[in-house]
Amino acid sequence: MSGNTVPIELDLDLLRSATPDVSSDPQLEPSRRHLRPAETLAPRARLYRLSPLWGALTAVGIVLGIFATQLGLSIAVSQGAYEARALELEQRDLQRVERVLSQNVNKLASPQNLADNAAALGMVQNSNPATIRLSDNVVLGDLTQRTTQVQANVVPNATLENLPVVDADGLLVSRNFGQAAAAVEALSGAPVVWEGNLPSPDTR
Amino acid sequence: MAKFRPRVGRRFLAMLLVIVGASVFTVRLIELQVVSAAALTEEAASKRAVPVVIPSLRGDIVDRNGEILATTDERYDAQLSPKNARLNGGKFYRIADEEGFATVSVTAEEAFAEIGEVTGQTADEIGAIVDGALAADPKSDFAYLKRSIDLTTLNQLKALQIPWLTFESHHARVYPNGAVGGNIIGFSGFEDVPQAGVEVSYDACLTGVNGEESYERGADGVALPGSVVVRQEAINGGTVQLTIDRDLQWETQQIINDQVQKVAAEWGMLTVIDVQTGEIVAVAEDGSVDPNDVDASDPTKREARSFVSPYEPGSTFKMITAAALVDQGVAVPDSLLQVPDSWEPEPNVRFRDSSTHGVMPMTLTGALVYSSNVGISMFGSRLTEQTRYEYLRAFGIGESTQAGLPLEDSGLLYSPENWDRQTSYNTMFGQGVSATIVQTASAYQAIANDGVRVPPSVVATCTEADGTVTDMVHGDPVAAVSPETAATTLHMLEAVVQESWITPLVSIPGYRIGGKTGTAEQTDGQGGYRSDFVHSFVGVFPVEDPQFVIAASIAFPKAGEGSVAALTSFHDAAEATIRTFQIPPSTGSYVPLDTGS
Repeated sequence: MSGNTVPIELDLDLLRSATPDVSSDPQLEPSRRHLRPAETLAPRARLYRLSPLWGALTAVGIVLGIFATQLGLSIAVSQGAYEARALELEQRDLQRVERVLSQNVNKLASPQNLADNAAALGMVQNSNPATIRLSDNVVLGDLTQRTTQVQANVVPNATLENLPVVDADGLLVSRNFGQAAAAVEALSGAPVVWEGNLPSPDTR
Repeated sequence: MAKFRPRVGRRFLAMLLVIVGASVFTVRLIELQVVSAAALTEEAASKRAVPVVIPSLRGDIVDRNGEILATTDERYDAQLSPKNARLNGGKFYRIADEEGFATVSVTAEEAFAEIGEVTGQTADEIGAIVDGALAADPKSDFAYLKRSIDLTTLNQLKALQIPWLTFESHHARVYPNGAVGGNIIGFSGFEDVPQAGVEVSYDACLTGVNGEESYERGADGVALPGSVVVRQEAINGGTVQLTIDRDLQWETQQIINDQVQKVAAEWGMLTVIDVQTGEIVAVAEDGSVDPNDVDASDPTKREARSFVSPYEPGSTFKMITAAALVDQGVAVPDSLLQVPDSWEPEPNVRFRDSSTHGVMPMTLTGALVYSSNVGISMFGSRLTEQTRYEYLRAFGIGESTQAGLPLEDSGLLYSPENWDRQTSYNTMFGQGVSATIVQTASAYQAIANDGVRVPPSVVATCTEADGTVTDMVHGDPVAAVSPETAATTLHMLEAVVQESWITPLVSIPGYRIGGKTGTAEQTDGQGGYRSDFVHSFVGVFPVEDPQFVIAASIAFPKAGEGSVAALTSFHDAAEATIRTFQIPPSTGSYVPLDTGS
């Protein structure tokens, strides 16, 4: 009949004509339709019948897993960033300490500090140059020092303020103690030039 | 067919709606993610990101051996946020101890007291800072607590863990060797602006380029870790190397301070120059400024006076006249003349010797040994004024040195057309002309160096942060006299030391020394001359193979012999130089020259 061109619609006529001679026997009665049970499907087709619930659960599980992994990675990275920051700060602090220490070394190695400490220990400078002539072991120059007086340092260095020096007994004493005394002594020692007319007696 | 048309139509409509909606979203998405992505990211970052300048480190100034003379130190400023200090009624929480999580509540007043203990301020002072800032601006987020604190104080304040107390660092200049070389190095003023010396003249080499970085921070002001982006690296400043030797510089400063004090002089200068290279290894002035504490020094003694304060040198210039005579072939050390103690060669031109004597026979050597003004003038008048002027210029007089300081005086030497008759004779013995001590020493360096004057230098090199080394230019060497003339003049200078009264004061056993004293009158600023003098001595040693020239000047002594002070300064500085550079003793011996009497 005309049902052959519509694939969706059930062609009852086709069903009805279960006998071989379907198309060539139009005289069969349309009322005698044979319904027979459908054959059971092949086992492998069962897969297509799996419950959609499982699929949904798997999909959701995978998505949640991805989120969880991403969150975990973010946390790990942030944690690493905090650690890196803490280490950077530690490095900066150590560099600061190193700089302060090396500057302390520089100022303690300054000639003023060495001279102050030497003077506090009572050292006297012997500035006579002397050489040994190796050919005949003769000492050229005078080895005896010219003075036994300790010469104080008179070149200032403000970075050494408040730093003590070590005296001959190994005790820490104030740096300026010797210098102030020497300055007072020097001032009082220098003669002052007379100004004006020299006094002279009246003579007749 | 009428059955399925409405079904298809509905389906089609639904599909259309979905497609239209999806395309609207897609277009908007592309617009946001691709087209305006950069601009939007920038805007977002700018709201969060804070740009920070990475300060560059100013370069060091070092001596010839690499000892640090000037360097940059970090200083810290403590600042607080007044708004946050008074937030929550001034309460904040602090972790009670290192390991645990327990927190303890701390009030603002307690915090002020703790801070004050560390910085030395009282809690009331700190409270006043906070309240004052809030009174001016209720949303004030910034006020200085204390500026320029050191590292120890900083660490103590940090340990208090007060969230509204922050710190900033800045650089400050430090001079670990104090006044040693202070006149040359210079110093910085307010805001670390360099004001004198090499700090100014080599500022371009010492200054680096600041960098820039930005970090992102949250609403409470905390920096997000890992968000620092360095946009531009900072380039540190270069290192300037000087020619001075730190220890010898200290020694010469010590010597000149001592001698100036001993004779109560107005000022004193002591300079040591390496003969072969013209490098100034020590240049000392009395009372030199300590760059760490500029205010403590005499305002007149803050510059490098050795380079900017010329004075009339006096008899030390007789050496130049003698060298010119010998070089021109018009005299030899043994040339003899009968010399009176005063002379009037032309009307209204008269001068005399420092000591009275009758007419005495005097050789050219004798004119130097007895430091006779009349003698040297009688010899010197054999040369024309132009010739004498040219020799003075060849020895560097009247020309600025280019040693490396921001300002170097040329001294005063008029050209011969401007010489009046008196000046024409005065210049033969170092009056009527002025020069700095460095120029005088440099003239002697020429004689000591086979007649070739190497311009004096105090700055050797500039080393950039990336390692490029630039040698500084100081001028070309000038052949002032021939080597034979130089040798003859040195011989005469040795005679001065051996034959005159100064021998016991300058002699160093084992070393042959040559030199010349000078006693110069200086102008009083009102057209006349002062009654006191500037006493100088310039010496060269060892004479047979000169290594160093040392010039010493003591000005206007009030309480002792200035010439003795100058000679002693030379002697002590020579001993120090011998020790520093390990100069071996002299070979050979002095061949006596005839002085005429």
